Amino acid sequence: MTWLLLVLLIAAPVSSAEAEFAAGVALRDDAAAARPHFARAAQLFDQAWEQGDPSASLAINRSRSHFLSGDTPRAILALHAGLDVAPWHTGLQQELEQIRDAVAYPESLALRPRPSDDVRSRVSPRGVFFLFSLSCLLITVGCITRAAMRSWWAPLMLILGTAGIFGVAMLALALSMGQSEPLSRCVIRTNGVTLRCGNGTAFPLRVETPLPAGIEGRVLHQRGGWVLVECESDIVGWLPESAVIRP
Amino acid sequence: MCVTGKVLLLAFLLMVPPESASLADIPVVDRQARDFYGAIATGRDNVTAEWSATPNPVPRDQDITLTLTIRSAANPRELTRPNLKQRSDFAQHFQIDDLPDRSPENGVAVFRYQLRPREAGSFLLPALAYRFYRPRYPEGRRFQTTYARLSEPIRVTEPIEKPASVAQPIAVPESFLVLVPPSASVSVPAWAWLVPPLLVPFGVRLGSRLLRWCFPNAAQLATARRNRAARVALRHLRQLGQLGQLGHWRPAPVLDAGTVAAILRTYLMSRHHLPSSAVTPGEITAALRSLGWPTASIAHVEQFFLRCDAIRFGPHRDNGVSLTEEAVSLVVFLEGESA
Repeated sequence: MTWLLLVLLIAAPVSSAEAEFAAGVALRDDAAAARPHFARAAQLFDQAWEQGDPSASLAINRSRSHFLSGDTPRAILALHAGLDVAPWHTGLQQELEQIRDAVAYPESLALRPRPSDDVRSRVSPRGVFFLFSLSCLLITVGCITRAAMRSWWAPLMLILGTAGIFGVAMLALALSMGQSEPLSRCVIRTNGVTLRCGNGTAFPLRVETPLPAGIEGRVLHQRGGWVLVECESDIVGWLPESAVIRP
Repeated sequence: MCVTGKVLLLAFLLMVPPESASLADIPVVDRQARDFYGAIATGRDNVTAEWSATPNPVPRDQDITLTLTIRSAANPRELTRPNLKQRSDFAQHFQIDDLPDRSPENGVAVFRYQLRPREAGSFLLPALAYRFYRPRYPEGRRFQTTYARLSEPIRVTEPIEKPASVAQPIAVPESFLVLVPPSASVSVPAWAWLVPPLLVPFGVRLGSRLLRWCFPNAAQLATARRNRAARVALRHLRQLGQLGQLGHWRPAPVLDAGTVAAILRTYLMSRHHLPSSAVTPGEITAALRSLGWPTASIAHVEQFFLRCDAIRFGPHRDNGVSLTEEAVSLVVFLEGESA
């Protein structure tokens, strides 16, 4: 009964969100009329994300709804939330790159984040499990051939299988150590904000170029309604807290 | 004028105090006068006030800039702005906001107002009474009045019909307009990681057996071959017996007995290494004896082959069914003996 209620709670926002999204797509030729539908769909997908089992597909749908409603920063944040759950998911990675294409990064600053190339973004748990199973299979076949046929390649298979098990252990260690801190992530949501040297408008500008909405960064410190943000290329500066959104 | 007159005039001018050009010099009571905004006239010219409105005519949904220009005031920096919001004759037709003041230049003070028409129509703004102060004039005549008037009424037209805004489509790649179907969770449950290592010993045992079955050793091969000889012999004998009973095949009894004998002799050759040269019951008995068979078994085999010969060559007639059954019994007996 509890499970049934839980499933109904999760399914209700998703189905409503899908209906709103479809209504928005039907009005796609009129952006002003379509955006409210996408915004509503995004709100419902957010609700489903908070309530239910987060998945890569839900993250992509959330992101697309936000993006189509005109809220690129939240779309980026939704994809990052999805990548926290499934960092290896190529669909999420490609989607994030496509949405970054829509951000007007200033040419004078290298603020566009580079695609992640660490182990977590390449190896899925299923891949590790497959490697683990393959190693066990190699050990099994090696034992069989060693016992029954005394063949010369039996020790080779045993060595390969053992090396595979060792590799799996190393991968598991790397995956557990490479987890990022999602709470420190932030995205600039206001166009034209500037990084300052201190937490106030009296402080001089860190960089002259105004930053567009959609720039990603990491919150290092927070004080008096201002946040110290580290952007790509190690550019660090203070921004008003209202100018950024955080998970 | 004689020199004395000139001297007297100069002395008079020097004795007359200079005209006051500061608001502070005006008595406080006078400062509170109605329509007095602090203007002081000291020269020959009177202070003048002048309205101008741009644009005119104006659509109802646009603003008018109304400018009040004060000239010839001795203290242009001290002038205060007339508050049009409190003037009902202005406020009933327009929503009035003050625009920023400009610093006076060349003695000219300018006050600007932003007027938003409340309705369409033609409105002649009432004259604004603007009083100024002449300190040199005698008491009771020091306040004089000028009026700021617009030469023509402000004409407010109906708003210009804006063309309906053209709907802009959402310009995104097509892939963004499709929702992704829900995907199954890709996480691996914890218990699943125990399965592969636990399956290794079972796999080794099962694989070894499978390997033995696919590639048997010499003993297994010999056993399989022998078993195969008995299996083939029994199958042929049973087929022969079934055909005889069903009546599909009615061979001559002589031929039938010979076939049964041939099947059994083939079985003995494959299973028990009987030489192919042993054909007659005597030869078969001798060969079996040389192979070291027990006497009882040899007697059984000899008796069977003698009976076959008797049926084949003797006067006795048999349908062969009993002979096949006897052959089956003999094979089963010999397999039991060898086991």
